[in-house]
Amino acid sequence: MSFSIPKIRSPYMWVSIIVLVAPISFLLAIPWLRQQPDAVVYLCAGIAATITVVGSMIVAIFKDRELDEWHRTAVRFSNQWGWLTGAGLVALLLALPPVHDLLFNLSMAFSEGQEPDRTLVLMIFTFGFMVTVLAQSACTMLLNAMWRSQMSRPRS
Amino acid sequence: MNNKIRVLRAEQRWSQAELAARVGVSRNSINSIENGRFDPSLPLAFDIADAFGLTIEQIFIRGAGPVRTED
Repeated sequence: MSFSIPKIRSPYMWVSIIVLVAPISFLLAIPWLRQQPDAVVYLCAGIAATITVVGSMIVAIFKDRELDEWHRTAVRFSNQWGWLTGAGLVALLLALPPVHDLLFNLSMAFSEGQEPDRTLVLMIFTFGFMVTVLAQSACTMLLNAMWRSQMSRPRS
Repeated sequence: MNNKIRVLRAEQRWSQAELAARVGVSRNSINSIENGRFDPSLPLAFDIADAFGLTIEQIFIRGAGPVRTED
């Protein structure tokens, strides 16, 4: 009985795989990274983040070229409401005690036996979420201004 | 906005996929436009009209009422 590996012809399928492999590899390497100097950890984190961001943008650009106006409308609708409902959902989850326990246990798993401060853990997660939402809002406003500026210009 | 695409397509014996290929969009687009769930852009409306050899006004009808097939 023989197995054949399916051929991946599409270039952006390859990029998609790389985009997924980079963060998963980073997560799997955490035990090894904890024994390395800070510079190595930051370098690896930077490389993984860069691969993921750049790869995601390449995939998005490739896919965008294949979309018609029906798909673009669907994307616009899902982006508009997805960001909002997603952010609201996280805000709600951060208020739930089982989620507090989950975050705390997650922090415990990476703290090498030293019990982290529960309040500090929750504050860090909340702060991280707030920064993400603020960054999303800022980027949305910036892109909106850029789009309106571009669309207001006369065609040459 | 309503339209006569389903009727016109039946007259031409075109499938949704065939019309979609002729105007360069997905079958989902044609299905949603036919069902009155999605209003096409002006360029796409022109492309659809060209595909049937008609004008936009002969295919697309303002309002949400039922489409009459007789003219």
